[in-house]
Amino acid sequence: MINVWRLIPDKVVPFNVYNVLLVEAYYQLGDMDKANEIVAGIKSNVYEEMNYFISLGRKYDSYLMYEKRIAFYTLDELRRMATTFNQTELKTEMEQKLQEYAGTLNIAM
Amino acid sequence: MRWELGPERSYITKNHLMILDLLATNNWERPLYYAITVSEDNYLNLDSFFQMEGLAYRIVPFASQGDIFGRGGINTEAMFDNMVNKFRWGGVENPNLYLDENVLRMLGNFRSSFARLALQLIKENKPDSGASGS
Repeated sequence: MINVWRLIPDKVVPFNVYNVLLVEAYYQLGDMDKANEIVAGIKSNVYEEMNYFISLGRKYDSYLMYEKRIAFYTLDELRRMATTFNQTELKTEMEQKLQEYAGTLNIAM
Repeated sequence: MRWELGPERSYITKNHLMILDLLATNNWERPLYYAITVSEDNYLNLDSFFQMEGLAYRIVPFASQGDIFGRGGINTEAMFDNMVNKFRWGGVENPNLYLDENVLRMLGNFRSSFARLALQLIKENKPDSGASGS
């Protein structure tokens, strides 16, 4: 298949929730390096987003709830995939982050 | 082809009438498509008759449940040919090219479409097509 990496790179269109399927495809193909490279991109973008939300405090909670939930869902999907494809390190990291963000962002787990 | 609009739909609008009219009179002489960006509200419960062929769903006279999103199936042969051989991407990989938010959103859609295609190819046991180069 065409090289999606070069065609639409992370620096042009940041990896986000919609690219979790791409991770799943690479995991299914057994290409862990590629999968984990996309995971790294998604994580980095979501963490940055989450940190920004946190920096705003609770003041904009009502406006940002949708975005927060999407970010949270993205990490949860990565956790799910890490579990399915035995990526222990990623699974632990996602569990910790989800726990951390759930408390900080007032999101029920 | 038989289907129901579904219990949740208590009205149809003119654009929906147009779709129903096309289905009733076109007799499959010309292909009918929904763009992948059309909102689900306009599907008229036809999604099980969709076959994804790239950035559009073709309405076909048979139902399927092959797609991971539960929207009909994916014609992997047509979609692969469209996405890989026919589409021109216009140098979007160039970081110096300005892309507005609409283009960025569309590119996100395209990347997601590649993933859907890859997953379907894997499901059809054609992993060589699903794998991307390095």
